[in-house]
Amino acid sequence: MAIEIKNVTYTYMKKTPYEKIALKDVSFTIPEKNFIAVAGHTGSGKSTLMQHLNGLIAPSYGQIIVDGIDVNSKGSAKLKARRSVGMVFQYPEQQLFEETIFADIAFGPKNFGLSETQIAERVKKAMAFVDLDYKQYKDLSPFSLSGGQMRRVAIAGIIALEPKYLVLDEPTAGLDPQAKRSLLRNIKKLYNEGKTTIIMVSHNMDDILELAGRVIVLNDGQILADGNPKDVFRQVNLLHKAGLEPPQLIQLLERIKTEVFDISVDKFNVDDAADAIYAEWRRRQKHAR
Amino acid sequence: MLDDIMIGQFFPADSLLHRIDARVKIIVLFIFIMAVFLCDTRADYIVLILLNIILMYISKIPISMYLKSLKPMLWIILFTFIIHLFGDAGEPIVKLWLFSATWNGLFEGTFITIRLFVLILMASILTFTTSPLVLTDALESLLNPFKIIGVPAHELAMMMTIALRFIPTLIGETDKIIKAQKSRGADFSSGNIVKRMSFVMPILIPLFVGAFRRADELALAMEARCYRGGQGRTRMKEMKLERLDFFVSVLVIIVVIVLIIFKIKGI
Ligand SMILES: Nc1ncnc2c1ncn2[C@@H]1O[C@H](COP(=O)(O)OP(=O)(O)OP(=O)(O)O)[C@@H](O)[C@H]1O
Ligand SMILES: [Mg+2]
Repeated sequence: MAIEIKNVTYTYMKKTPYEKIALKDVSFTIPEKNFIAVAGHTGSGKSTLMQHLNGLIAPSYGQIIVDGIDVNSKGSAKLKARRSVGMVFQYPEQQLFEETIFADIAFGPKNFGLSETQIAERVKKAMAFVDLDYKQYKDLSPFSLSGGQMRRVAIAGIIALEPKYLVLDEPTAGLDPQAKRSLLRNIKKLYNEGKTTIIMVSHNMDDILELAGRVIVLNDGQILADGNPKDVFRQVNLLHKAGLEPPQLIQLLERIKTEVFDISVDKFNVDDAADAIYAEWRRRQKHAR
Repeated sequence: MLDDIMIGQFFPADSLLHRIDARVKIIVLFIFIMAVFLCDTRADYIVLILLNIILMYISKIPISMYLKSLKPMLWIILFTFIIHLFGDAGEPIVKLWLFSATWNGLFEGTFITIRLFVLILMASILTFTTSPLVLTDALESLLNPFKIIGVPAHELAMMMTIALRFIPTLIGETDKIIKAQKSRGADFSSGNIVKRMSFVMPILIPLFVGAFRRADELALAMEARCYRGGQGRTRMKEMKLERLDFFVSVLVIIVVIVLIIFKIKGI
């Protein structure tokens, strides 16, 4: 069971002077129960790719296969395939519309045809997921909330669908550091429960390093790198080519390497890096004596 | 999904039409619209259609764009055609129940259809070859003389600029909201009409909320930059009539004279 992306090419505004090829022959597979990050500079095609996964955009060429079913095929099977992919948009707070937070989060589950009791249960769980107190918030208007809280309601609206594949397009963009950390912690927790496959678009290499088991780097609509974050982030030149900054720790080690003394840059946690720096420093001191 | 909307779209290119002063283009369009309504003989139509084709050709914009601009109006045009076909009195071609199509109606309908096509295409030529900003500047400049009788020329132009500026933004936003609600199980393509209508609110409300927020932000941003209306405002690029513009004007006058002669002579 997996999402297979096969030779997907997508062109916006086809056959107009504004024609723009957003994806070029992209192929990869997202196996079940993985945590995959997608990175790339602004306009590299990340959001476009994500919208293919549940059939919101049909590829100009190629196929998207979810659990063996083409999401753009004719017939009723595709609906189930599409619904197994939950999609949290970039800036999802703009899609709220109901009178109460409860009703807004319940919109999706209701459309999926769940019973009232199931819906109430799902909403409760989803609100707990995004750290919103059920009793306190359920009857408030979503428009009375702050931007960050609205974001949480919007994310809860997708979580309540309990999708098998959860796609998050830059979920932390514009959140304050604390809200960001708690959201990422909850995503990680959901992943650790072992039922959900997560595909997350992120600009933050440190987050990717911490959370994802695999990272796909897009550059101008093509896959530039695909692999374990540690292996990918070692290739600093490649990251720069994709317009990305390596994780902070690697940036620091890079600078020590070029400006102070020779040291290996592939350390991915603070302790290892500190040990390596200390060892090298000691060695030099001995030599100096 | 909403990529197809072509009305009011501008296509930058380096053609003769792009270089003509926007004020001249607006006046010419105005004259042609009047001409279209005064035309009623075959010769008139041939001149107009030829002119249209020539203009489309020298605009260096793919013909498919022009066809796309006709698309949204197609139903209205078809409706008009049918009304004429069955509505006009005359010698019947076929009889359908109470209604009969007439030869007279067929001709009238065809003429009306051509008329509407020509009108839309003319307007498209103007908007395709003129950037919205220049277009509103030109309107302001043309309306300036009417300030004396109290026409708020600058304010009207500014309103138009803002409206035009936000059309693509709102289309993009609508597209995004539709997709977001689809992801939450909203289904616009099946079920009965009541069910489908129930998905209109989930789109309209976020759209309006967003539009009001934008309007607020824009007002604030304009105020922060000390916008105080048109009084005493100067512009970076003054509009100037060039040789080309005079040349075009002369050409248009000739065409109009030809049409008038047709009219008088009754060709
Ligand atoms: N609706 C649209 N119409 C036309 N072109 C579009 C549209 N949406 C995106 N594009 C173009 O497609 C390319 C890829 O856009 P996309 O939104 O997928 O980028 P992204 O990687 O998500 O960027 P960001 O990091 O800014 O979110 C961009 O060059 C963009 O200009
Ligand atoms: Mg994006």
